[in-house]
Amino acid sequence: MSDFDRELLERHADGELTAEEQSRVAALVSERAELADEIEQVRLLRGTLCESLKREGVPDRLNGCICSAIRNGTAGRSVMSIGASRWRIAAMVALSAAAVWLVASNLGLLDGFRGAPGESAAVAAVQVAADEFAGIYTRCACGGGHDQLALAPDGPTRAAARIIDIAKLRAAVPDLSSEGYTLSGVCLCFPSRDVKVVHAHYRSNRSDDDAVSVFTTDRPVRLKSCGGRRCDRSKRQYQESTVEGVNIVKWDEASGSVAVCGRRSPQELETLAEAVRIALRRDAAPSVARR
Amino acid sequence: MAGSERSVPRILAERFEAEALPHLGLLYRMARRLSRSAEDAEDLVQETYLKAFKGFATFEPRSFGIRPWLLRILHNTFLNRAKREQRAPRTADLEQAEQTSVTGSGGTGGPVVEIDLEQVDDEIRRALLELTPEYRSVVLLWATMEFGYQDMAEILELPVGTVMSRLHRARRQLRERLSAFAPRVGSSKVSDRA
Repeated sequence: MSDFDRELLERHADGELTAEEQSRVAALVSERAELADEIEQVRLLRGTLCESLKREGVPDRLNGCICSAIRNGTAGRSVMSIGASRWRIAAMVALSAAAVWLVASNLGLLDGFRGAPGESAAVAAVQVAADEFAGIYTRCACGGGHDQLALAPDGPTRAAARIIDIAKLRAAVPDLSSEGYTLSGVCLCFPSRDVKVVHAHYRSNRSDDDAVSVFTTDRPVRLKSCGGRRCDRSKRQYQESTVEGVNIVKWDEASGSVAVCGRRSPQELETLAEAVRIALRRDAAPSVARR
Repeated sequence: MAGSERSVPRILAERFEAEALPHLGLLYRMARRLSRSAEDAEDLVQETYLKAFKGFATFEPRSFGIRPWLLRILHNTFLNRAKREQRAPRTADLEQAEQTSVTGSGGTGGPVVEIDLEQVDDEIRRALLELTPEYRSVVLLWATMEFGYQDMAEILELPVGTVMSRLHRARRQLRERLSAFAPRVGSSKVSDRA
């Protein structure tokens, strides 16, 4: 059978022939039984593929991750419902304000107004259970390195710079190579839709089983049912929690929070945390400076 | 004035979620068959939704429909990723697949045997991964049983003739790959382990 005949039969099986072509093929099929087999094979293949597709289960968390990513992209961009001309005026005012801020920032005029590490702006804190941090750590950091933003190959410094464009958030993507960790992924997964988050996670160069996460949120987060402790070195107020062997060390920085997660002792994570801070000055190294 | 204050992005996000998320199942299933791993499939779907959300404000559903539009974004994203990664068409998985023996008798006239659906799906997944990304895209759209050639052409932004020829070649390769396998699926008693 030629390719032309076979293609014609395939189109017949798919119901894609004109009435005239259809009757011509039907006449041919009635004369040659093997052609009916050929059509049946095409239908069988399609049915098998279709059934196989239907059996594929959708991960439960995917819906939440997508919603979270969408909301992360829109959080904090509340606008007035106004006409097009007012939009333009509003945009011009915003641009002017941004320009003034940029100049003032570069001249160092705003330094006195920025919060020091440990202080957070008067934004209501969001309560998050420690096991939710641990769950995301386990799924995204330990489960194959969820590199949603495809930033891992860029390395921490470039990734941090690109996140500002992507997530509109100055996030902590520290270079942990001196601690023996390599960036394995950056995602936007977080249990709360009200919080914009960047989740950078790392794999140990020594063991495949060892991973750590660094979460940066745009507003303060409180670990549920968890007390705080002040660190004398950094003056940070750390909150610590443990869930099934996963330790979480969290503190407030700038107007949000940063949390470090991993299967290392709280002391080791705190040492790691001491090396992480979100850069406050625009001319500092992109988003994160090591102490 | 306070009453007229509305969060436009939030409203848009809610509308997008209401209209686009019901198609998540189809998109993920398609992505899972296009990709080599579940993680790649999840990333592909998430990137698709983020891109779709970016374009949602200007999307005109009457001209195309949101389901085909999402599929178009998915396939374009997949093809761009495939080009970028320049993955070799044959991997260790496929070599392993070739070594996997097919149990039971082949052919429609053989005795009734029990088919393990997980094995069927693995076999199909491997066969699909042997196709080029372009052939895989077209054959998976065909496999949904939802779209005619014209619809597929619009989703993939290809001429209908190209869709037909790609589909023909993809089916031929799949049939060769599954020749010892597919006939049994249609004629055998199927047991679902799950």
